[in-house]
Amino acid sequence: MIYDLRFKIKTKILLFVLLSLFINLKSLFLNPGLVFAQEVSLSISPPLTEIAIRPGKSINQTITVRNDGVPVTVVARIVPFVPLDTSGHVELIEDQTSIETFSSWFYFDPRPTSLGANESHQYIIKISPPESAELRDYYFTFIIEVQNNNNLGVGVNNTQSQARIGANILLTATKDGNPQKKVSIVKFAAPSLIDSFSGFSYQVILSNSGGGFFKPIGKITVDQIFGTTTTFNLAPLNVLVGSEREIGCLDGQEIIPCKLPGKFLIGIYRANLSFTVDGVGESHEKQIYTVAFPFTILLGLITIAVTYGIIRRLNPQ
Amino acid sequence: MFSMRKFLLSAFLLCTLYFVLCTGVAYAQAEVISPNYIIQMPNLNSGAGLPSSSNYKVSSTIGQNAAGLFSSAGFRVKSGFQYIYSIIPFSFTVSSTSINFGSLIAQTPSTATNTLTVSSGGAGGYQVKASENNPLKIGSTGTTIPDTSCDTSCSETTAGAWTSSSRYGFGFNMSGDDVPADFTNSTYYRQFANRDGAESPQIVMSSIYVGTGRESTVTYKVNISGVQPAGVYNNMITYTAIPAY
Repeated sequence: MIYDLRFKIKTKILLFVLLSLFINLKSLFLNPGLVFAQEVSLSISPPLTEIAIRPGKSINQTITVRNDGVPVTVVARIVPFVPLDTSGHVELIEDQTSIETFSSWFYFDPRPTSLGANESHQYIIKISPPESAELRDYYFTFIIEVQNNNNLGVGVNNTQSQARIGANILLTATKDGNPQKKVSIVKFAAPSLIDSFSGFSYQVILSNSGGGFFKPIGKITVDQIFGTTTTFNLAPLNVLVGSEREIGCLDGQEIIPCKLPGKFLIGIYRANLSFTVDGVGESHEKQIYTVAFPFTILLGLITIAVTYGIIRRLNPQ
Repeated sequence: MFSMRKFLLSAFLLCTLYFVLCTGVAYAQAEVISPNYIIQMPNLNSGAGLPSSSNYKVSSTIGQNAAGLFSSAGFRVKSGFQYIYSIIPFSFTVSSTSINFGSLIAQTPSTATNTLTVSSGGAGGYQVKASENNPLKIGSTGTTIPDTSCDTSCSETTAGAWTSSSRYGFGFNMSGDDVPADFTNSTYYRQFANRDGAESPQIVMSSIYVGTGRESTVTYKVNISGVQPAGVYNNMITYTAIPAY
């Protein structure tokens, strides 16, 4: 009797264990859409380094990488880039020839580095353009690449995600530290005619046809016919050589669209764009005008008048 | 008595096996709710961006207000974004490095999601580009599940509607913050740019303004035909996050 009871208990326990194993194996290997929670979270600082250097000289720059995700192994490399668009985005030039062209300019420890959770690593980069370097701008991105664990998802249909994070390095090779800077106002625009209830923004696009990147330092001053004045400070964003850049405005220290505040605009608005290159030299200026008129109100009044006229005509009494 | 010992030993071994096999999942869950995930990237980055030379050593640029400006005979270095107060460093998070599509069944689309998070507090904008090393492929034979052409057409640069279960391939949809406008809704998919086919990585998230915790969801989708050769298909998607200059 006791033996039978033991046998029953043993059978039940075994069934339970086997059932648990089956359920968990099924969820591991058969469930579609299963995501392995291997979160990768990296940060990099500083995100931008600007260097003006005489060829033959060298400096050290430290870039810190922090890992806030699962432990990872990372490798670093430096890749040249070209401006991609007017938004400050980059197009990495990742072919081996381009990378090797500048490999002697940078020295840092290229070995894979293990980063535990909440750990940081400092890369000390020695930057030394050779004396033979052409005097012009060179643009690079310091890339940190997570080396994936290739054992993840083995034996199942899967896709792996590899994370890379970058920090940009803008390098000007110069003898005197003052390369020629040449700016053009490609666009300073706003609607010519608007309804009083529709706000509008100013768009500023600058181009650089000089020998070194620059920042516009200036403002847009908007004078209204009744005497009010609004001032927007231009964001000091880099305009790289041979490219165009859309310049936003600063609200405190946040970049925002250069949008005229106010719920009801009326009259003529004269906007004056005024800036200098890197805060020195001649001022570059351009003016545009916008007329704000309450078309919506006018349309409403006309509608009311027409409706009233029709009613009067249909019902003369 | 002896058989009872054997039974206990067997049960112990089975339990051990059970825990070993299940801890993968349980561990991953633990990671999701660990403090690392609750505290969202509390980065200090102390000491970052200190330039130096044999003759000069400069003070810290922490905070990056009037960031790291110094000059000397022969070089000048600025770290960070001048006049833009940089509280948040540039950070990038990918919620998962491995996504399992399970057993693929003909004409039954399989989907899975991944989350991308970017903080570009001091960067004045950012971009995230994506590309695949190759289409989903059986490593040993080279057989591929081709990138999707959607219901009518789509590419690595343009999304298209993909709802038909008789249109096969591998593609992705984006939703959330700062994603390309051509992902009109959750039925619009693109191909990943295929580096094996010399295609350039494409922007999947971008903004020209400073952002904190910008988050998007990538939905991967695979649909195969009845004649797709059996096997295990894999590939690797590379996400590259770079601040604006």
